[in-house]
Amino acid sequence: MKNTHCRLLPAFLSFFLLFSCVTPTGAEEVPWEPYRPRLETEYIIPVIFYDGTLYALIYGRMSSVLRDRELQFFLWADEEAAVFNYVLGYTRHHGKWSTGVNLYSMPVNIGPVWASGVWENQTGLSLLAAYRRTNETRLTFRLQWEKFSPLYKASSFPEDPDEGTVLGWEVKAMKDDFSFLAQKGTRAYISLGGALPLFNTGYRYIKVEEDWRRYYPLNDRVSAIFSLRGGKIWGDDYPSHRGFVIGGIQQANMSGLGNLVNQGTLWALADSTLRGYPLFQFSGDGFFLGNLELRTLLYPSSYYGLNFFGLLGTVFLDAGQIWKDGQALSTCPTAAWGGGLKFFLGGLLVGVDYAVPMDPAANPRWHLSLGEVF
Amino acid sequence: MRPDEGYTRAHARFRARLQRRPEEGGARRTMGKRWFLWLLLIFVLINSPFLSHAAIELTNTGAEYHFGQVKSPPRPLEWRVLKDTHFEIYFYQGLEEVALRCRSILEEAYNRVYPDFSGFFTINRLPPVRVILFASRRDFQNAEATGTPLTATPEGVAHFLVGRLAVICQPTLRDLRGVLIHEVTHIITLHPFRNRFLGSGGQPPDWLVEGLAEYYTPEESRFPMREGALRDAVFREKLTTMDQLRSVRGNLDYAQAWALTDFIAREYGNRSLAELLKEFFINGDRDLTYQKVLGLSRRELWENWRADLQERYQAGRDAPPITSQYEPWIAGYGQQMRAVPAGEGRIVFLSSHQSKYFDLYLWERGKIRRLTEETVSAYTVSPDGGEILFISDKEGENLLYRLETVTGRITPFPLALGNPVEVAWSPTGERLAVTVNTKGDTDIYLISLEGEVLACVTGGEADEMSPSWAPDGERLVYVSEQAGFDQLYIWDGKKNRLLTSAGTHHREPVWGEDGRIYFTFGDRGYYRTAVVDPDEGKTEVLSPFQETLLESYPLPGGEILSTVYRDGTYKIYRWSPSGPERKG
Repeated sequence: MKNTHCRLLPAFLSFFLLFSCVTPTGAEEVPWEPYRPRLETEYIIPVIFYDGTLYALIYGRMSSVLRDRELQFFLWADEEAAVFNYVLGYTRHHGKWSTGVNLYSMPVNIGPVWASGVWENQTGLSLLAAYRRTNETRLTFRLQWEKFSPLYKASSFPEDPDEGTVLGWEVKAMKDDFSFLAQKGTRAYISLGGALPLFNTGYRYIKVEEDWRRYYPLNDRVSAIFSLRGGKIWGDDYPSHRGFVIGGIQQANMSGLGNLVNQGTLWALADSTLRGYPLFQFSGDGFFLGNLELRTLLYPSSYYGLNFFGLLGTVFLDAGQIWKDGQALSTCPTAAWGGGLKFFLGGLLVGVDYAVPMDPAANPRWHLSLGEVF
Repeated sequence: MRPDEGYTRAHARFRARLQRRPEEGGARRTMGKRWFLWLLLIFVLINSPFLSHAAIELTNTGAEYHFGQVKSPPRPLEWRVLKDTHFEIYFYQGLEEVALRCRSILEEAYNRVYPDFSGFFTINRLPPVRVILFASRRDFQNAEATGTPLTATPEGVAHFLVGRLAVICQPTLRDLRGVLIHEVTHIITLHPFRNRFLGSGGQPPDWLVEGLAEYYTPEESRFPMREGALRDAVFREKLTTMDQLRSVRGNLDYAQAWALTDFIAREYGNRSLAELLKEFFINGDRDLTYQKVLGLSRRELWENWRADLQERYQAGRDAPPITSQYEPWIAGYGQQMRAVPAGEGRIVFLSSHQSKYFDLYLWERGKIRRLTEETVSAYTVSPDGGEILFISDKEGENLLYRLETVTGRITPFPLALGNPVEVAWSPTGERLAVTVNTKGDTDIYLISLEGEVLACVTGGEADEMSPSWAPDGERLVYVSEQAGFDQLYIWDGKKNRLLTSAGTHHREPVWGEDGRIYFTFGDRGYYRTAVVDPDEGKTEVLSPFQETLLESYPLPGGEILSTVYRDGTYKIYRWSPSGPERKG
């Protein structure tokens, strides 16, 4: 028995020493603790009217102290119109990775800011991820389920809007090192996306798209901009009103690839610019577009001297082609040249362009633009 | 779907409502509200962090839009929090000592500001203020916590709605103290009114908001050239109006905001500042507010303040402007600073010509070449002019880089210490004097060309900075504070001794080849070039000009290169204490 105790004693001592280490009495005491993120309310902006019927618009933002977790939400209820719209977005940043989830139900305009193409109601869920390699380059991923139904279609819009459900995906590599003040750099992306007929969704297609814009400063005032853009959709099962559409200026939103809700706001760059032709002139499943623009700062003498007001003059050449089911939609050369002015007003560019189509049967056109076209 | 089915039931309801007359509850009655809702939606979208943000997605990953630059942290950060009664300090690796230093500065700020505004906290107490520290501008700009765009260049931001502030750890203790107290003042003065920013009533003008923050910042921690800009504007009769001061932007605006707040505090007492702020939130920036608190109109206040400023800034008023005798040495090239000779008639200088930040440029026989395309905060030229060591935060933290002047090749310099602030190459070429900030204040070390620490020149609790080598490469002159003023000290290889003691600032020393020490001398926004004998300590002012001259560097032959502030710009001038050369 005594021997047994003697044999157990080292084991007891080891046990004691092992578990006494759980309390870090010997460790260096530091007065700080690790950071743990927790969402807190930053602000909520409620706008509520009641005059027998209820109108409510609420925007709110929550974040952790370091804003590595963010939650934003937007609610819009209109009792009279029986509308209840919402958008909720949650973002998590971790080093160079950012991931996010959006839940939404909202009427959306697919078309330029000032000319409705199609209004549709979109309800969906999107999962996003981005590897932010540098400030200028990133790789992004998207998986999105969306149900959409048309609310309104402009008579000039060439495609009949669908009502359906889509499960889309997209992988995109992006570079943007453009500096407006230096008028120098490159903006480019290449994207592979499409839709899968899963979870009772009805579309199946693959899309590839690229956009490349290069800015060359010729001197302090003059710069040249060269742009090449193209895309192709394989498969017949795609929402036809979300194919490629060219014509006019700032034809934003139209060719959102697997990016189903490519909703640029006023400041978004144009997806396509083919001046000299009306909006929504051409639509199809493949397109090519090239632009060359020479831009001169008329006032002040240097971009670095821009304060509230600036004036720029441009001359340009736009050319493009679009195909549907392998057939080119225009037999005439779809190209135009022209000139314009851009007003820099407190950071917002307002442009007026006059474009002359190469097609002798087409008439010259004026185009108005807001924000950067290139 | 057929084209005529383009209208859904919701659209049909809307159309039907349009067809009803307003008195029947038709659309006209509600269109005003509807447009208001749309305007608010647009407002929300405009104010989202990225202007090209997708309308329907409220995440912020960078996958929502095609183009645009995103925040990308240059290195992994391990965040910690240091909690105290009034503050929670968030920081990451390498900032441990700075965080502890900040704790005492923040308590000082609290005790300095809170008592004057304690009346705002009788019902709701001030919750602990969250202070987020960043080691460099690059870390700051790439952090989501700042809430600022990638290209914004503030030293700190205060989110007073949530009682949170983010600041860049400044190169010196003095600057850090200034930024922390400035931002904490914003939180203490504005957080109690956070609900009023979205409600009815008025808003305080920027001049009081920023003026309070500057007023409570200790004088020695206030950016010196803000007052320089104010003095220049007073001389030129270019003070802005009260209306213009509703928005505060550049240095001059900040200086005016401080001066006006300081004037009110002197004339009406500190208590009036809290009262004025409160009344602005009730009645707005109107005569009524000024009458109620100060007993005079807005216009009268402006005129009294203006007269006070004319009286305050007299020094140098009658001196000739430098422009009456000299032209800027280089035309154009934006803001120019810190010109240093680089041998064979070449001059290196900093300029913001092609960037928002300062880059290195080389002037050689009238031609100018850009040497760097990244932010350069300090640099030194090797004795033969073949190499430049410069400090940049392009990797996130401040690091030293070696640049070959001829080829433009840039390589990292393996410095054994972190966070370099300034560097000076010994005239004999074999060692460096490097100012580093690893514990909240700056110290000077001797470093070998391999980056190893050879000796510690200074290691006190105050800032010691701006080292400059004697021509023999054995002694150093540097700057440290003594009784509220910056003074020059000499390190002779063994001991440190105080060289100057006048009741004004002595900064930016350069030990000239003639054995004398050239430096910037002055205070209250008026700085001149002076020279001091290193043995006797006898000081002589050299520049006779009305303008402030900074960063003076003596050239062989007696001429001096100086940075001159005038009318909002910094330009390099090449001038002579004996006056301009007369031609013909």
